[in-house]
Amino acid sequence: MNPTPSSGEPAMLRRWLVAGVCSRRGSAHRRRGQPCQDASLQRAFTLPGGLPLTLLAVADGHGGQAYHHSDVGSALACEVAAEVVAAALARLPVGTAPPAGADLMALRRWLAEDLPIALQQRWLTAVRQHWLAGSGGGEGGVPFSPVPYGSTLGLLLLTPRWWALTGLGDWDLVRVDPAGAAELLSQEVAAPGAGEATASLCQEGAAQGGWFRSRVWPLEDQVLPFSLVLCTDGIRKSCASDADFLALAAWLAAGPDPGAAHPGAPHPDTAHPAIGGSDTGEGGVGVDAFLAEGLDRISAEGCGDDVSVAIGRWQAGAAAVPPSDSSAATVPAPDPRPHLQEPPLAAVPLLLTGGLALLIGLALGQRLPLASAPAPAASPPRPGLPPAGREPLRREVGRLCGDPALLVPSLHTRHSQVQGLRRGTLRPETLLIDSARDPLGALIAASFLEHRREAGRLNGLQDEMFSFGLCPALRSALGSLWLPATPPAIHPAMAPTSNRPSP
Amino acid sequence: MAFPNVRLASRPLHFIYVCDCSGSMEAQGKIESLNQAIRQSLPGMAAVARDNPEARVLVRALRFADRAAWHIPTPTPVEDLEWVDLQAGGVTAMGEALELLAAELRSPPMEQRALPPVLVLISDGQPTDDFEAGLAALMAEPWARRAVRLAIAMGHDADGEVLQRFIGSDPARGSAGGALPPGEVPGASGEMPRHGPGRSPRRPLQAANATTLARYIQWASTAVVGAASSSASRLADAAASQEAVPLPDLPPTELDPLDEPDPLKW
Repeated sequence: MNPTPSSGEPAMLRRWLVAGVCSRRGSAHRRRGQPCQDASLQRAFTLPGGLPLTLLAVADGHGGQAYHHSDVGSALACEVAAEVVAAALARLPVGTAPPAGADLMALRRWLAEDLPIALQQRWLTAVRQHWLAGSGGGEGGVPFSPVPYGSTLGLLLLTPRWWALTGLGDWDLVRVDPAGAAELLSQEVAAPGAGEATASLCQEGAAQGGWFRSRVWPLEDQVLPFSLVLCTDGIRKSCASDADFLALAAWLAAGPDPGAAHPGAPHPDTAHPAIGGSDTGEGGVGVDAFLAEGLDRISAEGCGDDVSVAIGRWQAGAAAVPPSDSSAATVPAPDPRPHLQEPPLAAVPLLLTGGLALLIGLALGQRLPLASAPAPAASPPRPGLPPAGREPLRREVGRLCGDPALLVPSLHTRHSQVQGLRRGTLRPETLLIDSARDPLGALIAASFLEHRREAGRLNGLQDEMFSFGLCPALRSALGSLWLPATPPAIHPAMAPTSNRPSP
Repeated sequence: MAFPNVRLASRPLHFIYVCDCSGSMEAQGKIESLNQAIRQSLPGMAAVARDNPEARVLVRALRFADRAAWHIPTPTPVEDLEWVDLQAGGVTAMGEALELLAAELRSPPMEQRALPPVLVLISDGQPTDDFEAGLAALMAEPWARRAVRLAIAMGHDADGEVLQRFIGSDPARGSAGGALPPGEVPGASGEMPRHGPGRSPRRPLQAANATTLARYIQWASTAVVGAASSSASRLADAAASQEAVPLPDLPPTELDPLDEPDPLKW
């Protein structure tokens, strides 16, 4: 896939590209003559400072007799999401640096509190209007209820300086790196025995009741390329295992080969063409057909449910600064920070083998000898980890070594990361790069790399970790993760926690 | 880019018969009627499975008499199932059967992506072992709580109370907290049954003769399987009070089971 920028915005602003948005009627619904109850949407906005914001949305109507208007409910969910975000643009961070401090707190609060309330209120208004307009099925004498319109809603908000998720229900979000390693970033955590139960916009007080899950990630220029795959539950439930699901998400993120034969014919089963992905076009010729064919196959060979996906791609590129003719009050100077450009895909194996020590050195703010870690020749100088990344590591080491009783319960919660590293579905550098936000994940990744390398190759890393006061108990617990048998510190019964709480 | 080498899979739908094979089932040819009813229902179940390829219908059977044991231990695709007749003799170890059932409803071996299983308990008598322990073990399993639990009482000697407790209360209909109707018992959750008078799949189905038994077995293996094959979301905050699967209407029977005055006609 070779997405191209659109809408006349400067290319430097378009590091986020929409690689596809699509909803497809599931094979079971097709056979029964039922409509697609999924919906999806892409919408582009411009923040007051000139930065672009892209909204991606997927929604899944509940289906079943009790939710007989859920096709309308899911479509309206996507539409009102666009309306609500459009109305809130003035409240969002518009600076040319990643939001921090009060700006970041305000953004988090908006995502976790104000946006959910506005979304649900606007959705309730919209479905009531639909019902009053008589297209609600003519339920004569039956008082209005939003339940028949019940739907989930998952949103991604993508800007050059931050990206965020919010929403409620059983959608999944997967992050995929250019090498194809995929990581589940967000999922609905169901109570045991909950079955098909999911949070819904039609639930009274859903916005205030903790059903929404929200999170924001500030973006530095040097953040390596990655893709985000937001999908309704029909895709994951069609896969035999989560490993299959992650592999499928990576495939969807990669998209079609350039020039591959996906004729882009009209797709009568694409839900709500004005909302779904068929008219978005940004992903390039053939993307819609690629997604339509892929989603149809997933549903037909899987659970038969409707399926939706929205894919955003953070690309390698120049620093994202507003254009000089933007409406920003001030024109920022070009970002003087060195850029960590992603090497071409062919160079990734080199990074994964010869460059591991350098990568760890990057994560821990220490450059290791080039003799053991040659960088790709074309790579620019790597920056050290920002101070914001070192201090969390130091604090985490202090926390765990200060109270070894925390070791087992803390590592228990990282089963998914351990398994992902073991299986190769999670790249250690993903965790290392993220050490500011998830220092324990970075420690696990560093331990994994240490385990994978020959003795003596990572002395620098060990020294660095010891400089943080890495105690024997923590070293031992981390090392035990990689023993051949089931890691003693990680009980397999513990639920994975890839859906960590919002910061 | 070629489609990746991933395993896409329909969702397993486990259908499990739990059959009373105590000595009383020999009387009046009840065990023969049960074998015949199940055998005759299989083509219909297979047809439903073919019509719902997104669900992989897998059948097992558990028998209990002096002891409980798996009669068909392996989840078997319905189209491959060859019914081997049950034999009657012994007492009624229903509690042990529920414990065996509970062990199979743990996850694993239950698949994470399975559809709510369908459990059909068929009995003509009263448990002779620790039913309470068995039911507690069963209901401790999330998959059992999600399951569609049906019960068929063969004749009037079946213990309606234990069968109702296996089913649980009816979440769909009124009168929570009110006095129990005559003959009603609290469900497994301890809540009052919410269904009103009349037949309901959330009450033990009274099969007083072979024909009625066959209709209920056929209904469970076709209509219920069809409904369970089509998963639909439920609201999270109401999950505990919602049926895992909206149950279809019961089939017509020759006699209203509530006021049937006639003797058994097997």
